[in-house]
Amino acid sequence: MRLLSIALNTFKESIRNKILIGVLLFSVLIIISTMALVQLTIGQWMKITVDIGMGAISLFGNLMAVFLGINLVAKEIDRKTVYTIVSKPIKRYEFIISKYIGLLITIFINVALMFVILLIILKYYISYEVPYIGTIQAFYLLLLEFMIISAIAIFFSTFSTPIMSAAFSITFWFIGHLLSDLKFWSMKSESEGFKLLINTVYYLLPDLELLNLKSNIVYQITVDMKYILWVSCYALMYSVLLIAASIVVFEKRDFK
Amino acid sequence: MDNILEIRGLSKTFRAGFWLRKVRALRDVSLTVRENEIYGFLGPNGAGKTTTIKTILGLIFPDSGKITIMGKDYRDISTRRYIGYAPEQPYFYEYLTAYEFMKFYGSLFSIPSSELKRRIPMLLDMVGLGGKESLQLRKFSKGMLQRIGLAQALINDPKFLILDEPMSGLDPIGRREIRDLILALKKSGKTVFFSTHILSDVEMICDKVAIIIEGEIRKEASLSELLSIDYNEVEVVFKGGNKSIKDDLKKIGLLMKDIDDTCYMLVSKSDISKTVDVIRLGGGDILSIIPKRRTLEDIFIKEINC
Repeated sequence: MRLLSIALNTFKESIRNKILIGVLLFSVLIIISTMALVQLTIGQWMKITVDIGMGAISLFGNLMAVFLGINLVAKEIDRKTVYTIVSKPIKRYEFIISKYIGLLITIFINVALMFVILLIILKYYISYEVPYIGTIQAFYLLLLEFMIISAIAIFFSTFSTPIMSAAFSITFWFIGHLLSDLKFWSMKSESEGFKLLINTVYYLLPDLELLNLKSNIVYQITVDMKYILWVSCYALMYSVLLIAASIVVFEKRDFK
Repeated sequence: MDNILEIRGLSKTFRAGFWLRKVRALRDVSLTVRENEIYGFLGPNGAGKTTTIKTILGLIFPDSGKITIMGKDYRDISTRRYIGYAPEQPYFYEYLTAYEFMKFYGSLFSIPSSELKRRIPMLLDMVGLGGKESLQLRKFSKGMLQRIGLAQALINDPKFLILDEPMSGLDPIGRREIRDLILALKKSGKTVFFSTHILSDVEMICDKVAIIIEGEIRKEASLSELLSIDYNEVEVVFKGGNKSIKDDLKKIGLLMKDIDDTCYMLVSKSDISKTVDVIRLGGGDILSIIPKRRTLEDIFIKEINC
């Protein structure tokens, strides 16, 4: 009940944020603008719509995860609202977990809205036979990516300023998408030290490209459920570890 | 009467600045708040009042010392069920309406909705915010935020209220209303611990006072004790007498006023007999001898200058 209250309050705080509403409208407009773009191209309509639509969902979701995530805890500390929460019969770990759940609810509802608009355009405007399983798989994996990025943002915000937390989180997001390529190229290197370094980084940081199945929608490919289960565990493990680390930092923090 | 709060030997050091220099915020702080008391925690800005309060509430971890709330260790989260806390500066969720705000804090104590429906309008009325239920907090003035801060501290019907500078940001009428509210809370059996640097607030409503300066408790006593123990002068008022009286008295004490043959003078406690003798021998009539009590301000300034 208490956890749910803080989570819902987080959701309420986020959806009443005018910047968020602005960014959401902008992203929805980008998706809708694909309807005009397809008029200017010959063929490949479906590919353009899927690329831009899923790209907008990915960008908007990650931006929300970073910017709402870094603010959730840091803003509570900065604006001292955390004082009136932590002084109530609430454990500090409950606060972090409920903030995280609230953030995920906010992101999931917003991107789900964008996803439904994209599906409507694909089905009724482009008249594309949407491969539902592949599309839902791609969308689900995007949600897993948002889950990890949110946890990264919350982790940094427990001990760093919002600007630094944003910088760290975006860096992690970039590296996360480049890890597969880095690993591939490091294997071709002759330096054993470099190979070891990249391998270590690869296993320490989340490989976000494992969660990228956007092109499967275009090529009507589905992946094995075992893969979905495996990457779900992979994303869950990283998120749980990051939230656990956030809790450890937050539990010891003095609110001066 | 039981002790509601007991602090023994509380110390806290912060690291501040680029070189992380150690700053001692609290030094061996000890104090006791008894049931149904209004306890004034007095100190200048930066004396350690808020740090002490934050430590009691588990927002800051002390380096050493012991805090007991209603007989339990302060880290026992169950103690927070009985505490109401209003912070110094009213920073709240500004996108919420007053009703949503109160409901949110009520839900943190798992208070049923039906009970909240009854309690919220009553509390908003009590702090002078009746009819503002659907107004968003971002439209509130500083004084209104201070009041809703107090209302949220009362949502769980706490036994023990901790108020950090509850009168700051209020106009004289608002200050009086909050003082009356604190007195009403005491009447209903609650214990109130509040910090302030405004002496008149303490003098008017407190049963007990602690003065904290530079992180150290300099004095802790009941208000009556504090104001009566520290006097060593009396005001003597007399009438009439021969002309030499005044010259003789000027050698003993300070002649303050001489209005229509009535003289007011200030003498030290040890010189009372001598003064009385001079007046009687000079043919004057003593009208009154009143101990000149020190005000809280005198005591406070003396402690600061120590």
